[in-house]
Amino acid sequence: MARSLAEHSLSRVCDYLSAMGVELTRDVMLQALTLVEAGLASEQKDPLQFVMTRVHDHFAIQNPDLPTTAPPITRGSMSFKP
Amino acid sequence: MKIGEGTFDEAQRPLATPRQLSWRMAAGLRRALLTLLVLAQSCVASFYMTAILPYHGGNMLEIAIITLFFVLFVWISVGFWIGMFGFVLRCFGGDRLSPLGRHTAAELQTQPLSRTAVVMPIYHEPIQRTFGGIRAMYRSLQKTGHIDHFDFFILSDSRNPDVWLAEQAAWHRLCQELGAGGHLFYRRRSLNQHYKSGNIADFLRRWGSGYEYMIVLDADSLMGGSTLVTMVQLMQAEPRTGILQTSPTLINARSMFARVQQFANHVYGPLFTTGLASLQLGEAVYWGHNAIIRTRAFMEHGGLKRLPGPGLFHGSILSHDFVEAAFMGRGGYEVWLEPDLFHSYEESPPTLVDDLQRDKRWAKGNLQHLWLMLFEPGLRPAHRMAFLNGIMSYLASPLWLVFLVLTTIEAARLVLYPINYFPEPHSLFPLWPQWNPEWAIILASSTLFLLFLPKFLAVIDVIRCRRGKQHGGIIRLLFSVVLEIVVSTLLAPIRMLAHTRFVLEALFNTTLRWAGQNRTDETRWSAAILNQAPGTLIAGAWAAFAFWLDQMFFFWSLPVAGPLVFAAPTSVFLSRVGPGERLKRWGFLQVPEERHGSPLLDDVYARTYPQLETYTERSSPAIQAILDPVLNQVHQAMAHAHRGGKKQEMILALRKRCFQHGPHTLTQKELCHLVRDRASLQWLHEQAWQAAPDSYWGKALHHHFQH
Repeated sequence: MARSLAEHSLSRVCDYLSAMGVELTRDVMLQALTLVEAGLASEQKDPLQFVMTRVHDHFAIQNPDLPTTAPPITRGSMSFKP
Repeated sequence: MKIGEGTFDEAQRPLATPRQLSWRMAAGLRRALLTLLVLAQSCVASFYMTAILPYHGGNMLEIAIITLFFVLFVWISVGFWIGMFGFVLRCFGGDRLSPLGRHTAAELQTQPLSRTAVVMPIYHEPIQRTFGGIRAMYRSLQKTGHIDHFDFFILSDSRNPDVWLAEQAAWHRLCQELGAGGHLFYRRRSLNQHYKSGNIADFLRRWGSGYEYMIVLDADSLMGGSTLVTMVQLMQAEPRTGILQTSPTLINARSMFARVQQFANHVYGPLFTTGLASLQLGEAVYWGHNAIIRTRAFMEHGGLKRLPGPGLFHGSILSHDFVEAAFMGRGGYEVWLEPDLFHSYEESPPTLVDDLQRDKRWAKGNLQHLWLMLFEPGLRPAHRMAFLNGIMSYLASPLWLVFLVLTTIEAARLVLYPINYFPEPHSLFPLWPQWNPEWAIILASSTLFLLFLPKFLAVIDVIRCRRGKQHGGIIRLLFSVVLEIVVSTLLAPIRMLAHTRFVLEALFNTTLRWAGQNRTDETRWSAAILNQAPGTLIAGAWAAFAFWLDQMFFFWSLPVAGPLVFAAPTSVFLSRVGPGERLKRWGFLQVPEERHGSPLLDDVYARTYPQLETYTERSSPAIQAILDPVLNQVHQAMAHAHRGGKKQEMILALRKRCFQHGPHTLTQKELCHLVRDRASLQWLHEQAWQAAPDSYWGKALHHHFQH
C-alpha cells in the first residue's frame, strides 16, 4: 500500500534526526508528530518541504563536532638550488 | 633559528665530527675491498670465458661476448659480495658503525622527541587497508605514550570524486573512532603536479616548517609506534643525518607469487640489507617510504627540478627517492639505511603482472637517473654509484639478452660456417678452434655459486640466530628455500625479457603494447597467454633453432628458453591465492609474523573495527555526501566557495542536473566541480531532503535509510 505524504514526512524527519545522532525517544517522536501535524495544517502544498525546512528550529539539534581538516598553514619553500 | 621562518642558515649545518671521519674512512676501505674482490673475480671469470670461446677472443664477435660477460659478471659479483659482507657482519653481531650500533637503547631513551609529521601520500588506494594501516600505527603510537609529538597527514592525489569523497568520509570516521581530531589531517590536491614528490613538496610548503621531521609512508606501509619513536630519537641523536631509511619487510602475502617474495624478503633480506648498509654507510639511498626525513634540510636541498635533457631525460623526475637522497648528500647531510629497525612493513604486488607493471615505472625512473649521474654537479661519488646500481638493475636484462644472442651467433657460426684458421688478418700461424666443455661447466657452476651461495648463507644465518622455528622449522625452511629458488629461476628469464622491453620503451620514450592489462586479483589465462605470447614464441623458436643446430647447445639454452615457453602457466599459477594459502597452512614459505602473530598486524588484518570503506554499504560516496547530514557538513568543510563568473554558472547548471537526475548523469569532471563547491553541497543536501518520494532523491533517501 502506498504511503501517504504524512507518513513520508514523519519517516523523513525520523531518518534525519537519527542521521544527526538524535535518539528517537518518546518525547522526540511526539515532537516529530507535532511538526508533521503543523506541516499538514499549513497552507503549504508540500508538507515534506515544510517539515524539513523547520526541523532544525523544531529540535535542538547540535551540529556535529567536526575535526580540523588541517593545521594552520606555516608557509615555507622548497629550494631548487644545487 | 626558529623552525618556520623559511630561510636556512648555512652556518647551522653541523660540522664534521671524528665519528663522521671514522665512517667515511671505513666506507672507503670497505668499498675499495669490494671493488678489488669484484674486479679480481670478474677478471678471472673473463679469462676463463676467453679460454672457453673457440677463437679465444680472436674476432669481434668474441670480443663483444667477453666484454658483455665481464660487465654482467661484475654485476652479479657485486650482489654476491654484498651478501658476503652482510653475512660476516651479522656473524659478528652487526655493524657497529650503523646508527643503532652507535647508540645504546638507554642513550636513545634520553633524547627528547620533537614534532614529527607522519605523511602518507595516496592515489586511488583501497580505503579499508590504507586507513586501517593509519589506525594501527596511531594506536601503536598511543601505546608508547608519545602520540602528542606526532601528527598524521593523509595526502591525497585521488582524481575520482567517488574515491576522494570516500577518503574524506573515512578520515572523518577514523578521527571520531580514535578521538584523533587535531592529530589526524586530510589534504587533497586538486592539481597533481610532479606525482608523489610533488605531493610531498606541497605538504612541505604548507606545513613542513612546523615539523622537525617527517616520516614518509606508502599506502601499504605499516610501522610500529616504538619504531617511529626510535627513529625520531636517532635523528635527534644524529644531527647530521638528513634521512634515515628502514628496511621494510613484506607482509600479508596471499598469492603464491607474493608468498615467495615475502619469504625471500624475510630470509635473505637481513643479509643483503646489512651488507648494503655496511657499504653505503652515511651515503645510503632513500627508498621513498618507511623513512624519516629532517624537514628543514629536505626543504633546503631536496627540491627536484625538471630534467632539461632530450626525450626520456626531459620533464618530471619519476623515481624521486634516489635523487632526493643524492641531493641531501650534496647538501652535506648523511643518509643512512638501518636494517635493524624492526616493525617496518610493506606489501608485495600480488601477481607477476602487477610486479612487472611496477618494474615498468621503476625502469623508466631509474634510466632517467643516467642524466643526473652524468651531468648533475656536486653529487657524492657514492650516490652516482647508487644511480648506476639502479640503472644496472634494469639495463642488465637487455645486456643478458644481447649476450644470449651473441652466443647463439657464435654457436651457429661454428656449426654452419667453415672454420677460420686465420682470424688475425696478417698472422702466419693458424689458430685451431678449441672447445673445452669442462671449463664451460666450471664457469657455469661458478656463476650459479655466486647466485645461490648468499641464499644458503642466509639460511645458515637464520639457523645461527635460532630463527628456524619462525619459518616452520629447519625442514620446512629448507624446502621453502628450494621452492623459492625454483620460482626465482623460472621468473628470471621472464623478467629479463620484460625488463628489456621496459628499457627499450624508456629509451625510445614510447610504449610497446601487445596485451591487455590484467585487472583481476588473480591472473586470467587469456591475459597471461596474451601477455607472455611474444616471449613464449621467441623462446620456442630459439630452442628449436638450438636443437636443429646442436643438441648440446639446445641443452644449454633450456634454463632460459624453458621458463619462457611456460611463462603463461607460471604466471597464472603464481597469481593463485589457493596454493599460497595451502602452503601457509602446511607451514611452508612461513614468516615470523604469521607464526607468532603481531599486535600491529593483527590490528590491521585480524581485528574487527568499524568499517571505514563506505562505497558498497548503502549508496555511492557522492550520494552519501549529499544525503548524510554529518558527512555533508564534513565535505562542506573541505569544499571551496566560488565567487561567481562563468564557473559559477556552470556549477549552477550541474547542480540542477544532479538534483533532477542524480550524480550518475554527471561526468567525473563535472561531479568533481560540483562536490568541491560548498554552496552546491549544501543546496543539494537541503533539496534532496525535501524531494518528493517518487523523485530521484526521494528514492535515494528511501534506499539509503532502508539499509
